[in-house]
Amino acid sequence: MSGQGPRVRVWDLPTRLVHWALVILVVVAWLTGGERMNIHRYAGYGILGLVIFRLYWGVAGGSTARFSQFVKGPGAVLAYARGWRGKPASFGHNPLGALSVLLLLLLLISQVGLGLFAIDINGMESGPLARFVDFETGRKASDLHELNFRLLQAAVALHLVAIAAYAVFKRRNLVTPMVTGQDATPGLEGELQPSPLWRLALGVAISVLVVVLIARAG
Amino acid sequence: MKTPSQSVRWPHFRRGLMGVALVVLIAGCNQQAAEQATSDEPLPRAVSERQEGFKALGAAFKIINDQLKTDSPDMAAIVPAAAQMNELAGQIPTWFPAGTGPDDGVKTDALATVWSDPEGFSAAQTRLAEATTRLQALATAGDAAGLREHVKMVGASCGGCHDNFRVKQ
Repeated sequence: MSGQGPRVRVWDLPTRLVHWALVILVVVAWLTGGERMNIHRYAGYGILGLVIFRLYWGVAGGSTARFSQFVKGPGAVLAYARGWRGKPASFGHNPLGALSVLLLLLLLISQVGLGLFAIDINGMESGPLARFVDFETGRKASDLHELNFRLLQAAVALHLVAIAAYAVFKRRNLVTPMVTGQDATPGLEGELQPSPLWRLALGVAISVLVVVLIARAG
Repeated sequence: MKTPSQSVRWPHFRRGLMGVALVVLIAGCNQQAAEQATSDEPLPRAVSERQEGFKALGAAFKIINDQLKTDSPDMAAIVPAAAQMNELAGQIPTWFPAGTGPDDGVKTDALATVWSDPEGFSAAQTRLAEATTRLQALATAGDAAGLREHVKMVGASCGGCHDNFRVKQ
């Protein structure tokens, strides 16, 4: 790596916790899908809560977690993508990485959404909202749940390739900051504006409430 | 903000984009051709009949399971659904006439084992028919607790056939 700068705080704790909890729960859901449906169900509820919280944190969280701070228009994305290797290190998400965040969130939303209505072929296992749709619709949701997961896998693969590309071509370590919250890349400009604790508490309360209501619907 | 390096890269980028568009286009045409090839032949009546039959079987089972998940299952909904399941389960042997398998060029999720292993298929069907007969008896008796336990057996009977005689999901 190309030297160390002063360590600056980039990601707040809730953003990092959500990230790594998603990693764990998506892997659990992947391994248990179609096999151990009780675990799969709870993994899905967990992912649902994390995604709801992340959307909330995208408007109420620390500055680098906010969509308004990192989502940029196509012009800015193209400008960043051209001459990518020479571009200075971004504080928080860069305009291209922002697309990856949005894509992953979108696929997670559709994945959980489809799972809520899915019914297995033996009619024994179903998502908590499956009773509001007929059998064929539930089966279709199940097929799409499977298809959408392939897309999610592809998006995760792309995400990992991008992280490797930053390590190889730009000598930038993106993993450690997502673990510790601190980034030591030289020349970083910016300052994390943390979010007050009450906002975190409110977000957790909202997410838990929504998940419990949905889980009980079934 | 145009720098020389940007204008040099743009054509490459554009060419890459055209390449992607071309690949998508070709993939789309192939897909369409494949769909036309299979949809030229109308499905044999037996195939659409069994597909409808299994959908109805699944729909009836769903009615029962949805009710059993509630605190006070509505037997008025469960009884006819259980009767329908039992009737459909008994019809399954007539749904797979010779010449309607994947080896006959028919677009079906049924495996060739349905025809190559008639004893195994028949045993799996019998298992379901027995399970649905008991299901109907429990429903008629209004035994919600017994039904809750027994639907696991019914679901396993569905799975017994899906695992060995149907394309894996």
